[in-house]
Amino acid sequence: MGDSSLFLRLSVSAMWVFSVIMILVKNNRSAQILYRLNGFTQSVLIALLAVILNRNGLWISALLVLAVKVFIVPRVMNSGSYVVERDYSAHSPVGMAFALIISVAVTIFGFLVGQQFHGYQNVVQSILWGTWLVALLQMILRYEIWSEAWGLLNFEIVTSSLAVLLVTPFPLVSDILIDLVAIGMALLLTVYMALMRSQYDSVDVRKAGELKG
Amino acid sequence: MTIWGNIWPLSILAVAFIVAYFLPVRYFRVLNGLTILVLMGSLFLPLWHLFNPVDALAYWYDITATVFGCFALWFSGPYIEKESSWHPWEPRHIKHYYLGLYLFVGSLMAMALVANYVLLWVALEAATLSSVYLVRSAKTRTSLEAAWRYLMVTETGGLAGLLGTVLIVLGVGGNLGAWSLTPLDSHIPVNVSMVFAGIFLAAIGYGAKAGLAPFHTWLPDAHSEAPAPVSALLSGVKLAGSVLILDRLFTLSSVAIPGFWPHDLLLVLGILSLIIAASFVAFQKDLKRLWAYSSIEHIGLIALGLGFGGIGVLGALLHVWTHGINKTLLFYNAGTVRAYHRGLSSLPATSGLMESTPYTGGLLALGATGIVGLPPFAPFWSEWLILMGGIASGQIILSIIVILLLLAIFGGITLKMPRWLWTPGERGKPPMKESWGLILPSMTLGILVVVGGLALPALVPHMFHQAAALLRYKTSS
Repeated sequence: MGDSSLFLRLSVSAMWVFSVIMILVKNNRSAQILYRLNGFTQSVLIALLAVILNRNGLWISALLVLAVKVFIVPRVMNSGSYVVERDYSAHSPVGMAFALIISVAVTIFGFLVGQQFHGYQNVVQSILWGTWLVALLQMILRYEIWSEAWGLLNFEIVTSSLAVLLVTPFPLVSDILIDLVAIGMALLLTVYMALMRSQYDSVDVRKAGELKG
Repeated sequence: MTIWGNIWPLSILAVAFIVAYFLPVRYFRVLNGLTILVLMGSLFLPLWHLFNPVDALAYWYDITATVFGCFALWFSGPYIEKESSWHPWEPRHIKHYYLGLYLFVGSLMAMALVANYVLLWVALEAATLSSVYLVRSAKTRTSLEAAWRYLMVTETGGLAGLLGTVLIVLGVGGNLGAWSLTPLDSHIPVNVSMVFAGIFLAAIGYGAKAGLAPFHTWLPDAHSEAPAPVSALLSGVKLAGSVLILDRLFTLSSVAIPGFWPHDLLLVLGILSLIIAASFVAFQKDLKRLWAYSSIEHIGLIALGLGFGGIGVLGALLHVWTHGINKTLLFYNAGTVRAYHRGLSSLPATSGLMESTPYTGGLLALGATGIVGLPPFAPFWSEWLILMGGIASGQIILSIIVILLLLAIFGGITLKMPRWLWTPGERGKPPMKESWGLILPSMTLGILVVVGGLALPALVPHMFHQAAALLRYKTSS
């Protein structure tokens, strides 16, 4: 049991590390690799829960996450991401340092929030709450088209991991439907990412501005 | 039988979706007609217990989603015919539009009929993703920008909403797998901090889906770029559905938290929405953007009614219906204007509608008169009930602020509308040939705006009061 807890902590810590690096990465390919790693970490997390709680249903969930987030979603996203392969961003070291400092600050806040719930595996939950806020931060700090797209998908991974940890016997039908939502989201993101990039000179989505009547 | 009995009308849309996938586009009007007939028929089946919505609120929202879904299928026929000629669309593109529309209407109905909080979230997500796809139907640069912003803002919010849902249901000791929306007898102690966090996350998540300020940034773009039948469904059905799910969650959370403070969050979001609408409505030059800002106002009013409690809840539920018929009429007319002007509905190109297209101009004038809350039109009565709810709950100052903001919005719309209806200083625009296919659905809605707003709650008073009772109607009445 003690070892299992350690592995759980290691897997959510890895998820935190990948999410922080995702804020700092400079291109689409790195973001995709980090997304796959996070998807793999989520399936490991669920598999560990299946072992610890002795719930066989969670194995199906772990396999589903592995299939959807390590293989299907990146493949779907790849089909439209060729147009952003050469896009780079986050040039400023000061900006990256700022992103790191903010990430640590929200992690501490998330950890404190998680401590309030006194739920199952409190420390693991607290780390995951910190990761959730880091993933949310990416949606606020980064504006490149590909960065927003991968950021949203990564946010989905962290959110569904947290949901599974909060509700350890997560209903299987709901779990499958939530994964279908992730695939639908990826489909729309990949098509629109390619279209957005083909219509803009810049990778910065803020150039779109608010439409005028 | 229970679960199937609750949700089986969803299979009508599922069958229509499958048939549409294989059917040539030229037969779609027949398919749409049949689907409308069967869907409308399903609304009467609870009389013979052949269809049992999970509770009165579910039935109330199902009526709204089904009726406006049928209107969308009806109006899409002539409207898409016009739109596909000016863009132009290939038959494959038209088919994809209808497949998206069936999915959208089905998800909206699922938001009414499903009796599980996580599945309600999934239904709302399906409605969001299908409508994001539909917003980009025109395949223009502006529609792409609108769809991207819609996807980003509402999905980020939606994921927060998922956590909020999980935290509230767990916090009150509920079972996420249960087929029930009311708290069951549970021996699990409540977790107040979980419920607190869940309330804030749900407010952000479902608030973003509902377009409540300050999460409304996607709404004006998405509503103005979507095809008119989709704009009307977004404004009249999806926004209200998101607020009703949020209020169900808040009502559930009140088990764990003494008093009703979560509902005060609805008051804050509602008043912010009215402020945003009052600040922007007078500066709009595009007809669809004008009605989009008006949608922010009305979803704010529904949130206020639910937040006030008591008779305000009755007003809010009635407003879901009255705002729905009125805003559908207005978006259809804005769409008709676009159809006549090859995609334009902005000033000054589309001024003088009473002269060039008197039926469309007249129906637009009727809809605008109704939406600003003038008696005897349908929205007046529901707005009145919401304000009475505010006064009855002791929120006098807030009610006065609401009245002042409504007057500001009234001023903004009455200032702008004549510029579309007439052309001052000119002789008048030459008349254009109007399409009866586009006018008939709007005319039916016009009749409903005048008489139907009150007819539905009068026809089913028992169900209407039961629906309101689920959302704190009893507490202060």
